[in-house]
Amino acid sequence: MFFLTILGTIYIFFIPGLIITNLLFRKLGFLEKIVISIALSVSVLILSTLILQFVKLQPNLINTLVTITGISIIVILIKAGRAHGRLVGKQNNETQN
Amino acid sequence: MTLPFKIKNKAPLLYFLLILLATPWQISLPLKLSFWVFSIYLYFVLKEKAKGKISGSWWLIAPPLVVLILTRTIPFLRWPIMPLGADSFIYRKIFTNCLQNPCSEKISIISNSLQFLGWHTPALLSLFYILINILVGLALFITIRSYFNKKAAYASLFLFSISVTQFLAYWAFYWKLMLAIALTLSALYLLNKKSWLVIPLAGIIGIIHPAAFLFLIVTILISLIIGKDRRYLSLSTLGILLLTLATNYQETTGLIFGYIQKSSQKDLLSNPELTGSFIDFKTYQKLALAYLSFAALGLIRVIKEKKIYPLAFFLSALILSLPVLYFHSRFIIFFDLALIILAAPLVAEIALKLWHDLMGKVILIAVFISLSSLVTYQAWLAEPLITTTSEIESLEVLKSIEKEAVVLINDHRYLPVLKSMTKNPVILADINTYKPLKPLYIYVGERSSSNILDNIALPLIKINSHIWKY
Repeated sequence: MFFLTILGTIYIFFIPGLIITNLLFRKLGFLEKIVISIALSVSVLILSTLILQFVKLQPNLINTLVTITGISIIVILIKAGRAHGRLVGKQNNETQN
Repeated sequence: MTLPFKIKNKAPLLYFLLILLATPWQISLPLKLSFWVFSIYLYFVLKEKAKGKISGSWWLIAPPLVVLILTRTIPFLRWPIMPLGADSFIYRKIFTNCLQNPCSEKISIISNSLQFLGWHTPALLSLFYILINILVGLALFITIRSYFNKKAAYASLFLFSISVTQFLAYWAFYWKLMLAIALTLSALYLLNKKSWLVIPLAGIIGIIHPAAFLFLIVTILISLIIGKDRRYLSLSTLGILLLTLATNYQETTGLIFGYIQKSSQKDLLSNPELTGSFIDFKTYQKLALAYLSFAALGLIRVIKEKKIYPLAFFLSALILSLPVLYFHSRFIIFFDLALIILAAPLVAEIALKLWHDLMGKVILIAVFISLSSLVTYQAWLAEPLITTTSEIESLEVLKSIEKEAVVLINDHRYLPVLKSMTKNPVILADINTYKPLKPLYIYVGERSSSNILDNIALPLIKINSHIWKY
């Protein structure tokens, strides 16, 4: 239970922000990354609960986790899309040259 | 940023004027003279910027962080049953009630999530609160690093850890405000980095704590007025306001109109976000005496170097915490942070100048140890409002009293405690002049004057050692 609490806390209060931080900031110090990740994770948590309340769903642990995971996946997909776009652009440049 | 005069020529005059304005006149003459002499000495020492490469090893973060953790943990170790200020009772009630029933308190989004994950209410009130305060320190560190340099950031963390005002704010148990401060500092960091992420973050601050949001939005507006990056700042402000209105329409409009209405009457007690007993401005001046001169010099430096964000932070805190403009004591916490921000680069500079020889090193270490010991000792001495379990047990009676009954107290410090203990109305009144119409319960805490009931004509029945009934 103790480890689940720690893992769950990290999952909700750190991971979503870390994903967003990695997407939007290329160069960020270690401490900056930690603080901004926590701050953004709190934002994601509150926004996801507001979304749940808006669609009239109970903001319990499962629903909150699903929403946060959904938001994180969307951010990862954006990051992947951007990386793919950069790669394709680079390949196009190389073929043109 | 354009100034109406050349700051370089007017700097000494401006500095001494600031020192005169900042002097707490109620302190003794020798202390006042020492403050002035120290301020003059500081001006000549720090007139020229320290030359040489500014760098700093990462281990320098450890000593202030240790002091911070130590001072924030000691109260919980000393008073495990009843730690810290009266607001802890309110948060205990919010955390337990909001988990069982739906409630309007937005902070319950965070507390409920944590409790779903296995955090118990006492852990939220102690360990999590300590972690929030460490986060405030770290958020201050990264913000100052982005405004100035790494050395100034170390100095700011040191000033934050030894600041008596910050300890008192921590002691007062402003759980929600502490979290909002950490987020506000992070938002200011993002603002300095010109990131659009400031919009959702500021919107969230608006949801959690309107007073912190007010401070943030005033800071951004001042930056917009005095700064150059108008496009980014105006779009950010617009985005923040739209998001806040969309997510928090009723409360935001209520807060704005409530503020306009109440501020004219100088009565803000009806708004829970803008209340709370914290130190007044005069007491604060005395507590901040150690870094007032540094901050005054720092203010001139940021104007000279056109550092918009630290200046806007200071001006915003000044507007919101000065009694003559708009005073609410909780903004003193922001004002203290503003002074720390202004003082930090100068403290770092004087430390850099002293670090060159052995004597300087000894002085620096001695200053650090003595100031740290002082605040740690203060943390050890600080006693909560209620120190005995018997007093907490006696309060339990108030949970099951008649529906129409009223609870009366004569000491304002007990107001949050009583309000969290009973659903009945709690009034703060003088028992000698109060004329009861309904069943009345009088609570006299151990810190209240015990002989207040001696000369009362009302026939009172003693319920327990702290409660009387009429």
